[in-house]
Amino acid sequence: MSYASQFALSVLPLGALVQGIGLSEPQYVRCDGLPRARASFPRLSTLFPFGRLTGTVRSLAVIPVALPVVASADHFIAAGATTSSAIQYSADGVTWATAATAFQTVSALVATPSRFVALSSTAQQPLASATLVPTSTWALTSAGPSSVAAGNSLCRLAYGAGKVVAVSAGAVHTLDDGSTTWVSRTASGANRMGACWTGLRFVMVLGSNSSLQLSTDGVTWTDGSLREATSTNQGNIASNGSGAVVVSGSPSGLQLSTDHGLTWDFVSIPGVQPSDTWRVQYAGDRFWLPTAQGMCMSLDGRNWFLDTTHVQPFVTAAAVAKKGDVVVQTASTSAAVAYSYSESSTHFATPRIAQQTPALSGNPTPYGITYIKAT
Amino acid sequence: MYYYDIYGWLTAEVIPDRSTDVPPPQETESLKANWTGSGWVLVEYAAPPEMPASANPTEWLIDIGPFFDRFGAAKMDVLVSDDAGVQAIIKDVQVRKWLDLKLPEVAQSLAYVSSKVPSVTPALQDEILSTPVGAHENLSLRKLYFS
Repeated sequence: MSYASQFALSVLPLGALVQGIGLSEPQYVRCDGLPRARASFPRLSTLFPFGRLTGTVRSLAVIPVALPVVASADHFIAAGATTSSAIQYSADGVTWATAATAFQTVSALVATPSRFVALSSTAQQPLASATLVPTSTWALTSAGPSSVAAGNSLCRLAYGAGKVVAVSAGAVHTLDDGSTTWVSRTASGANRMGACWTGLRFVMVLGSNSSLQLSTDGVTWTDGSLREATSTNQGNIASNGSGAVVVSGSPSGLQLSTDHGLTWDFVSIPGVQPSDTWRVQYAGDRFWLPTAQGMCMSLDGRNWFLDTTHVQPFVTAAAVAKKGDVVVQTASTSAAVAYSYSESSTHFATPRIAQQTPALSGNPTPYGITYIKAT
Repeated sequence: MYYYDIYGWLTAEVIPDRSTDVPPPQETESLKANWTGSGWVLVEYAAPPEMPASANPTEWLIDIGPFFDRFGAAKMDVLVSDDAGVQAIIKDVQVRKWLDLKLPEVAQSLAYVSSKVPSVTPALQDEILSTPVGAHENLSLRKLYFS
């Protein structure tokens, strides 16, 4: 960060963060998190790839028993109630209905190119839909994991290399395309939290552990390692499918790999206090990270942008799915409520930098008024 | 411009930042226009859903003065303790803006103090950590950092 008293302001580059007084637009924009028009700040807006989000409250068909929500090309799918209508779906994120299924309590969901698969937190086998039509037949599979509690994980199911990988605390299973019979696999480690497909391999994250498990086929797993261990019962992982992989659940916040999970760096988000309760996800075209300060988004897992939309509560326990331009967020298992987002094409959200508190400390460090150089 | 409320329903009210220049379809008696984020859909009007209770970020945060006051009659015993560890904990507390009673470090520090100051009993420790924080006990931090 630069200080106004030490540098000639005119030589600061576009996007430099400055603390000072008497700075004003159009050269300097205050980092207050408020939206700014791209037309008013054309150069500055090039640094912000995401439009300002507007949230809308949506009524679900039923109170979901778990947070997971996923999207196919045509539908959003979310957990329903503990019934034989264990799935609810929507084509537009506005109107939701339940789908008939075998009796289950959904704890995890994934959309493959041909069907949906769901895990159960009770003693039922996983469900698989016949097609990607939510009202197609949902039937029980066999030899798969049962009683898989979601816990703090939103990544218990991953799809890649022609198969679904299911990660429960003590087991790993795979389900090939077109099959309804799971195969149990062997992998090292305990307290497995979840996995993702990076485009080249599956990467599995464990709770209370800096170890990872890597596999190109979901069958044979080898050891890998993070820079920092995840906290107890924490650990989520997501990838853009092109080699960028982000892990959340450690006290420093986020860890990023750009080589399909082999090597890792720490990543920080300006103005956002890190937390080991974060649950990173990838949906649509970007990474999502619900935080106590608002919703963070990233294209590459390294550069993150905070949006402080105010309709929905700022909570870390939230799941996100994106279909086309519509984003759906679930954040409650006590009300039949979800939230949709629309993204502005004309406005972007400026950074919101007010104070920073180091992880695990009750000692906030208030910043002076922070500006970003806009020209 | 056409405006939509926080539930997506078309509204005549001018709501900043909740607008689109896409004209809505013709509404009927039973079907109302709702903004999906990328277009309008005609759906049967539904009353706003019951919202979940919001989490309170300051629920277990306490100002430093009220934290000291929670020690009651044992407060002076703690403050006059000549144990170096107790004095270090007192100093560490005093440089902070607030304490999070749910942080394990706070419980650990309290346990150490208790080992050196007998009047800080296990029951008092539990009371200090588990009593819900009253509005008067975190007024300062709420006004300064969470408003």
